[in-house]
Amino acid sequence: MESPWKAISDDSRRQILLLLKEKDMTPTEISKHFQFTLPAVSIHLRILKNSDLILENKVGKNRIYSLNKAKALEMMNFFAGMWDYNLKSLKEFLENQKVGKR
Amino acid sequence: MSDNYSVINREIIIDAPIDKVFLAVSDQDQLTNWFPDIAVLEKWEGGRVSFKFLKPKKNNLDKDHEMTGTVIKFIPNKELSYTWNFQTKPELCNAYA
Repeated sequence: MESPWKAISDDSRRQILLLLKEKDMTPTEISKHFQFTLPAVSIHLRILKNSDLILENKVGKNRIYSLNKAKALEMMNFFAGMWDYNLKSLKEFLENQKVGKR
Repeated sequence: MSDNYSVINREIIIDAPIDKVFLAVSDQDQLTNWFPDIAVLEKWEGGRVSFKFLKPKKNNLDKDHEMTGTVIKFIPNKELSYTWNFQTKPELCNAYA
């Protein structure tokens, strides 16, 4: 399993995730949105798959990729935690104001 | 607004009068007490928002972080919402790269 944070450090891979957020796609469909070749897309997809950010489904000859929403949510919770930190600062600022004048 | 975005919901209980709380989240001079280092927030719908988060420069990767936005709703003591556009990218990912 590869780090999903490493996987999204690449611009193109983030773009692919945004595409898959809209709908499931085959590598060929994805490559139409980019300048680069199908093999290049495949490499990006492999990295995203290995980090569990996307899921691969084989339908006949085709591989169809979809966003792994559970994993995306897990990463988002990391940022939600950042908000908890900021909100705690707000709470402390306001509640400390009462005690004594500043 | 949230149709195209995933949502982060957060709830917090603060032991303070509502006008004080609203002032703390909406007044540019008060915001800097707990959130950004430099704040601009125009108190009307369509008003300009700009926050700057200064970072101690330990190396040349450390850049100040800046956002700009537009006030969507400003209802005193009740509701405040604004858009948030990153002008700089937080370098969080470097910690994992």
